[in-house]
Amino acid sequence: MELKISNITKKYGDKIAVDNVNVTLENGVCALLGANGSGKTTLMRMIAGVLGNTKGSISLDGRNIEILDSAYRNVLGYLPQNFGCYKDFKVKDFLLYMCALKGLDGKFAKKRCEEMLLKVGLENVSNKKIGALSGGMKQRLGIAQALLNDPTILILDEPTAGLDPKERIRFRNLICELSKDRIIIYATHIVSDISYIADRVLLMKAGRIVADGSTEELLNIVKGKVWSVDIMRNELESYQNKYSVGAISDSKIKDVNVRIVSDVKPDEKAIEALPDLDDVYLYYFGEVAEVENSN
Amino acid sequence: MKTVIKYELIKIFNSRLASVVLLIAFVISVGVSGFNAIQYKTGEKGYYKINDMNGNQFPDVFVSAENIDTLVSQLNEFESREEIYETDAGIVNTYVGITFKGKYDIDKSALLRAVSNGEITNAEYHKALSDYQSAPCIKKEYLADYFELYYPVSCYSSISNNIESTLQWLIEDDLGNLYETSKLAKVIREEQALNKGVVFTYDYGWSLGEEMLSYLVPLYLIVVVFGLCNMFSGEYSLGTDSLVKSTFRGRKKFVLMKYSTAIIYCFICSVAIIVICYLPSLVLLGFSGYNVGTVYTNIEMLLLKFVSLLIGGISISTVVMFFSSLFNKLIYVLFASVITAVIPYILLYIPNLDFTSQIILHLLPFNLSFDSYWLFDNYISIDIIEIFCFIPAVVFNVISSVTVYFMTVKSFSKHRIMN
Repeated sequence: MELKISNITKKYGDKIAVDNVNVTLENGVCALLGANGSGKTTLMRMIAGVLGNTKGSISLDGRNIEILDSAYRNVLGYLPQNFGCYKDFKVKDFLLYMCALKGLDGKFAKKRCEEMLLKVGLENVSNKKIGALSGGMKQRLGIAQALLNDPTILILDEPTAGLDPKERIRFRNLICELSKDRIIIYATHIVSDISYIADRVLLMKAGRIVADGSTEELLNIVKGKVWSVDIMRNELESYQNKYSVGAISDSKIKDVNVRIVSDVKPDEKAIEALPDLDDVYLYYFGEVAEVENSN
Repeated sequence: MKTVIKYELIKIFNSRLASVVLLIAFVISVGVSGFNAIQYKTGEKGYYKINDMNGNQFPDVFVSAENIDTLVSQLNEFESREEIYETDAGIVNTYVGITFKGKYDIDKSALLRAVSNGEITNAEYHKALSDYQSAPCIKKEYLADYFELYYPVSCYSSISNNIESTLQWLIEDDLGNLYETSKLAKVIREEQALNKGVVFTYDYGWSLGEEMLSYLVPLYLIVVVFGLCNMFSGEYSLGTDSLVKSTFRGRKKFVLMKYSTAIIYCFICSVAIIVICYLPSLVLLGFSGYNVGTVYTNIEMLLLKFVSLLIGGISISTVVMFFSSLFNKLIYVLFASVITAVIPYILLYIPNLDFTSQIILHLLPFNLSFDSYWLFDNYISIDIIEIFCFIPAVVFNVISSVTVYFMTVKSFSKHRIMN
């Protein structure tokens, strides 16, 4: 299966939200990484078919998704950003309603709902009203609804927002399990979410794809550009003004140890460090990515 | 589709705003309807104090061209009997209010003329009116018998006089337009009905139910507007619009399902308001009733009211849903819906409106919920059983609903996802 995004552009008046994006996606997890306002959500909405594009086209196996229409939506699972749901509905009723909207009815729908509740660990709250669920539970419900129709294209926009570290790990495992035979597009600005599960990472900045490759390929880009240096605390400000400074930690030698991403060696005493995806993010965005403690 | 509609209805009834409005509307309508029926029953209100009839049930009286003369002579004979009249003013007031044409009727206009011509003084005029108030009326024990004769004769003569004057007018003013053709057909039917015979009875269950309904139609429309105003704006504010747009059913079917839900909701509300208005009256005052006219029976009239409510409600609901698909904020939806619905009603009061404009205004949302479209100057109500009279309203509504549906699909599709 191949999802081809060709010259996709979205404008809101004069503002360009997505600028001439060209990507071809295949089975596996494709992470869309970018800062807030980089155009990730707009691109996801266009892929999900809920937002029209100004220019370009999206095709599934060579056929335009606008022509495929309901046939495309039939293989689609979508979890929007800030997933909203009906607070007065019971959990199982919401899933049954979504089943009906996805064209699943009767016993099969009930069976799918039970399976999905089990999969996301909500089987014990199926009779609870959604309004009474915690933020993490709601998010898991959102994931469950996206999976109801066993989609071959799964679009997840900030799916781990509101999940605690334990739920986050559980969610990552679920994504790994699902990614074998489907396209999963996963938008986030949290690097740790995708470090271990993404087969491919797209870095998005100001509506454009600025980097595209596997985790290893992206790490190679910043190889030899990541430095570790021990400095005095009063020097920190001047380093931050001059370089892209990442992690700051305690140092045994001096006051602090800083991690710097720079094309040139920042200091004689600086030693080259092994890069990670945070450094890639820092390299492209010049700012520290949001880091979530997953342990 | 059934499951989606079921859950869409649950959404409406789960909505706090709709629930509060529904509850208030229910309490008001049951209260008003029940209270009025009790008042009629106990004789606190209405032209006739039913309790004063000593429990007498007026019999059904069949009147036709064949027996009208006999009935008229029996009435004249009855009215000429002195013993039937009550002379004690103190007692009279227990069942006055009966201003039907009787022996002691007063010609107020003649009195006024007399005052203006200086034939009597103002004081004499007021004394005459005061005397009239205490004028003898029919004694309680004769009341039922009197009505049995008076009412059919009175109705028969009123209808036949109306037929005569209408025919006279049609002959003098021979324009041959739709209005006149319909009017002529109606007159012919009335004449035929009178010749065949009409049954008159005196129970007020049906007519009170009808009266209650005319008072409570605005409440029904409020329930429709408040129930449906959140249909799309609720999806926007909850952020569920992007979710539903991405599902297999898609936008067009989703909007279609919302419309189907609105129709079912209007149907439920129409049935509920009919039951609330008619049931207390019929239970307390009885199911038998005089023929509404020479053309309609009570059941036909009820059907007419129900269809008016349903089509009017659906017509309003399409407008409300369209505005709901346009705006995120409920207050805008409510404001725009109420303005759009009420303006045609206000326009009806413009003086000297031509006939075509009046018909069009009667077909517009809100006005359609009142039965004024069908009963409007009798122009189309030739026979409500004939499907013909429903066609203009149904066709008009289908065309406007389909147009508004596509506008709603467009508006819902183009609406910018906010979250």
